[in-house]
Amino acid sequence: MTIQKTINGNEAVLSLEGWLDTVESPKLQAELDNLESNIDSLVLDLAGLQYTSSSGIRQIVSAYKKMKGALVIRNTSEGVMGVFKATGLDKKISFE
Amino acid sequence: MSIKGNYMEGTNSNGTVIKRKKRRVSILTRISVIFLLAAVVSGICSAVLIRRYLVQDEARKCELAARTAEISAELIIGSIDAAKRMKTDIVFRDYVHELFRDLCKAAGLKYIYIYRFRDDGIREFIMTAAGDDAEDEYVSKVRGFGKTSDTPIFDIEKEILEGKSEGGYEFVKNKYGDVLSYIIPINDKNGDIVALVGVDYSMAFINERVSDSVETWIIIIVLMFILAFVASRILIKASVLKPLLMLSERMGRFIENNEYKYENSERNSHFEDEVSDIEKSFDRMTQDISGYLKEIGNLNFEKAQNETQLSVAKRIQNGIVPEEFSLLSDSCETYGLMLPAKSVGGDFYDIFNIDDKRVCMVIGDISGKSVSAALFMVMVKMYVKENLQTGMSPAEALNNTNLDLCRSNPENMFATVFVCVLDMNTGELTYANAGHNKPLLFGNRNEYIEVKTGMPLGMFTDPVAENEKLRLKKGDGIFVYTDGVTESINGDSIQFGETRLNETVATKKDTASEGLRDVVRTVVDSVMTFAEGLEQFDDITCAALYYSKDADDGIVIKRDMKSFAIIRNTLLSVMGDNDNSRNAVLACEEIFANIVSYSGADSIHFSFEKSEDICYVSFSDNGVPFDPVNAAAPDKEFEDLDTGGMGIMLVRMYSDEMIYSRKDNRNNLMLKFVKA
Repeated sequence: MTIQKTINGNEAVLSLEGWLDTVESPKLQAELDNLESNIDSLVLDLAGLQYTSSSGIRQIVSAYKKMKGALVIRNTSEGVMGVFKATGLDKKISFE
Repeated sequence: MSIKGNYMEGTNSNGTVIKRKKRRVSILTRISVIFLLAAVVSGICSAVLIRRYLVQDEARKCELAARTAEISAELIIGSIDAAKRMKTDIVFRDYVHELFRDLCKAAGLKYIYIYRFRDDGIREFIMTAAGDDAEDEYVSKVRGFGKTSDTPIFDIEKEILEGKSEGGYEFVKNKYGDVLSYIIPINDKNGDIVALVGVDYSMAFINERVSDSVETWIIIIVLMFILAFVASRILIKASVLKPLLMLSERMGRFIENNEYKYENSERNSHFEDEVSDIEKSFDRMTQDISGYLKEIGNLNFEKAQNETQLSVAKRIQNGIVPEEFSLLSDSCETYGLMLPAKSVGGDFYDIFNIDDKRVCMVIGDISGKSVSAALFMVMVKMYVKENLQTGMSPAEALNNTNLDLCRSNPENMFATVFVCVLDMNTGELTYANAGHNKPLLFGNRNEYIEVKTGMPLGMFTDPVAENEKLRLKKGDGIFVYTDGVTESINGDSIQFGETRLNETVATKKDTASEGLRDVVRTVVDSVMTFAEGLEQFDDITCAALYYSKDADDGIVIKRDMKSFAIIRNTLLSVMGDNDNSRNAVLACEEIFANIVSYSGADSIHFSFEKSEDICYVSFSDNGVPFDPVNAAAPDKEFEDLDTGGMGIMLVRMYSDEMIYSRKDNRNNLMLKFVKA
């Protein structure tokens, strides 16, 4: 999995591509841990994401908590969206 | 002359060392003092001796004059006629007096006098003459013819009168001065003494002459002494003291100089002498000492180097045998142990997977010991492993290694190696032997495998080994060892031997439950007990492989999330990459992650079956019991999702069926996926 980061003022956009599985999810965790302190809102662009496991869900939830809810997820594929729905992620996070 | 403190060591009654200061006096000073003393003593002695000699010499001159006077006197007054004439004839008397006075003057005498002793012992002068005119006038009156003197008779006069002496001298001090008197008898024709003639030499005159001579002589002697002293001083300084000083400086430098540099001492000397002998000895000694020190230094350095090399080599040897036996399968158990002898030996063993289904065991023994053997061992081990891992059969691997070793083997070392490869799926054991001890079969049956011996590696370029095959049954094991095991001797020089080894291994019947480790350790312990009290002279190495084909068919997976790639790729390749297959992968990942994180299993198998539109995926692990089917899967709130716990829920959601069983201490889970 690859992650691309774009900064627009106080907003960061992370574009994920590939498989977000148990082995790969620490990359996302590292990316979140290293976000600049002025970032107060986060966009996850999942257009290139083909797969996520529960470890990926965990990272997204902790990102949501870190941004105090200011998290938007974009371009989620149908398959990944299924996992999100199954875990109840869609109840809190706004999808575009 | 410098005086330095020099200490002499002594020991008092308490045993403590006391130091007494010794005065330093140069050899030259001491020699000078000796010379001075010698000069003074010899000056005094020679002065006395020379003086005596010179006085005698003067006395001889005096005698000469006296003889002349005697002859004259005899001629003149030797006859009675002449004596009578002297008495009467004054003219004749004057004539004779004149004659003797001239003689006095000519011979430098003070007096000449002729006299006789009367019967009453009184001297009666016949004639007296003096060299000095005024004195002559005086003495011719008071000591003239017929005059007498009561001067006592001298010893020499007595001797002459008694006929004991032909003349002699006497030192006389009287009113006429301090003189040497030489007295000679005057004989008549019959030989009777008629008168005596005496001649007087002035002692003052004699002393003056003698003193002059003595002074000259003393000056000459002293000069000679000074000359000799200066010459010997120069000689001693140049040929003894200076070289000695140089030598002493060089000794000092040699002692202080830690580099023990040899200094060439060639001095410009034209002669060989005692000092040059010392110098030569010193040179030889410094060279010897320097040599010894260098040698000692080298020895220490070499010793340290050797010890370092040995410890390095030992670490290499110990580090090169496997410590963990984490094979990708549990259908095969392996264990190995090496007990190196004191010095570095050349034993090694190796156990590794060639691939998922094949495990390989290698054991070897290098000829010789020490570092070179250890290095050769490393080469052999690497070559063999590399060859086997590139897919070569045991014989190919050995033959190929042999060629590589023969290409560069300056020490002409060789290695005996046995290689076997077990196919864990079929139980087929392929092995090849390059001159090593025959392996022992144990478990179901206990017997040696009669392998072809082959040739050790590194000797000849001809092929050394052939492949042979054997099918192991479940419960069969292969025990390999080095000659350190069978050739260990006890106090009676009896070898441990193959029979005893077989018997020892055979006591371990229930291999599976007691573990292979126990088999190997029992053998090593038996050998150590057998050879108790004797120093271990060779490495003791054993390794064993046990075929326990008790697992279900399936792929052996390491307990590591990275290994999930194998499962994922398998599923995707079987089911195709689509949302359904990804969901199946997701379910499997959650199961596998669970096993990896919580089971503690060290054996995980994965297998799948596929019919037209249904796929069964099975997991089997020997970890703690866990039933995902009946496990509680809490319905978590969103806020708790980052703590995990969704796995089981996802598995349930994405699998079409879950079947769990616990059998043979293993969790067996089957997931069913139906294609959309």
